[in-house]
Amino acid sequence: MNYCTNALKAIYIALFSCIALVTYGQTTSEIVHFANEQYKVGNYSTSLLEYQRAIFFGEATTGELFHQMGRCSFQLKKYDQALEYFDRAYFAYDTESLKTASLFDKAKCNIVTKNYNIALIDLFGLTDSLPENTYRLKQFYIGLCYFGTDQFDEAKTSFMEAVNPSFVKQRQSIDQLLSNKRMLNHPNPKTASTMSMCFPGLGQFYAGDYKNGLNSLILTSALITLGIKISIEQSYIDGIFTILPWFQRYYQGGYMRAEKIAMEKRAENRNEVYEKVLQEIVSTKN
Amino acid sequence: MILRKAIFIIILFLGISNVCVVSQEASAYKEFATQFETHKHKETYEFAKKVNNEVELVFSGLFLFYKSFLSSQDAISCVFYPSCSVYGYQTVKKNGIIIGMLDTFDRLSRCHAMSPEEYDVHPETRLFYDPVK
Repeated sequence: MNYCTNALKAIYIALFSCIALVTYGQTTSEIVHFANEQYKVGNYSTSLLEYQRAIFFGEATTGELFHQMGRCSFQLKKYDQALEYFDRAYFAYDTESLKTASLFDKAKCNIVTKNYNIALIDLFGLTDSLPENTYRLKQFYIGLCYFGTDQFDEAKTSFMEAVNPSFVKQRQSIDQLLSNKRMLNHPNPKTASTMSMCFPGLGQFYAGDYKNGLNSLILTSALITLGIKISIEQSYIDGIFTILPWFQRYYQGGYMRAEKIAMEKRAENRNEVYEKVLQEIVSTKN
Repeated sequence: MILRKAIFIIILFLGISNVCVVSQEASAYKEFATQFETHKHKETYEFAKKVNNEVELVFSGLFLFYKSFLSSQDAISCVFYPSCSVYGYQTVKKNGIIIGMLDTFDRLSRCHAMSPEEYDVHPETRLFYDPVK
């Protein structure tokens, strides 16, 4: 009995030891292949995990893997992580075209996160000898950065460069749109704020928000009227002490709100201009 | 004949691939279509619009009037999230008029920057977080 158990044990050990000889685990290239497939179908978190596995088990880390990991993180809106991976890809790559691709993606990431000045540094770091399509895209990105930092003349030049010179009509249209300074800078938040300081509600009217302007005007006028009434019927001291704290709150709130409304309105106007510019640029691409 | 067919297929393939490349190029630009889009966040106070009886109707009406015409013109002065008016409305609705009003007075007395109590900070508004308990 004991002999049989020992013999069976030996057989099992021998059998399972042999399994290791005939079976094999996933290779790094298979992991990368699977990760690529997951990226294509949009499973970015799985894809990212698989690329990380490939780097962990792989013999060498490559720029491509870091680049793909950056793209996955970008799609997952993990922008800080994406920037780090694009940076690593840039330093891991040894060819200029691949370095350009990773720097482009890094700039894109900085534009999305509205870090326009950092994006500009990345874009100016790109090589001058780019294929035409990439050059036009680079100019578009530069235009975006300038537009985002309120440098509209520079943005105009770059957006026009993003369009092939053969599209004369579109280039003229972009020129006209970005030369319209009134549309881009109106309403001025500081002007709106100052107007509301001088006369409550006026800044809101200037920014085009008539409801809020009227509301502010009625409220502050009512408080002034009440203050005058108390001053006449009782004393000036009573009038001032009763009404001044309320008046100060709504007067200050009024001009602060006028500034905020003007900022929102101006941002809307700028977005409108940008949408038209983008439409013109896209129309030259298909 | 076979040669013609082959040429036709090659031209068709090149044409399709060209269209794909062009549309890919346009999509690189369209990705930034919402880059400068503005997101206005307007409070609608939906919770105050659902009333069950006349008392709630009066309080909801007063609350909405205050929020629409007075609070909207005010400089930011409340140190809490939710604001004292929202807190007052919620506590009256939850605990009834008497306890609710006492709770509201208590809240108003604590609404200043030198309050000795310690509160959590609301991550979005960066104000003291003090909801109705």
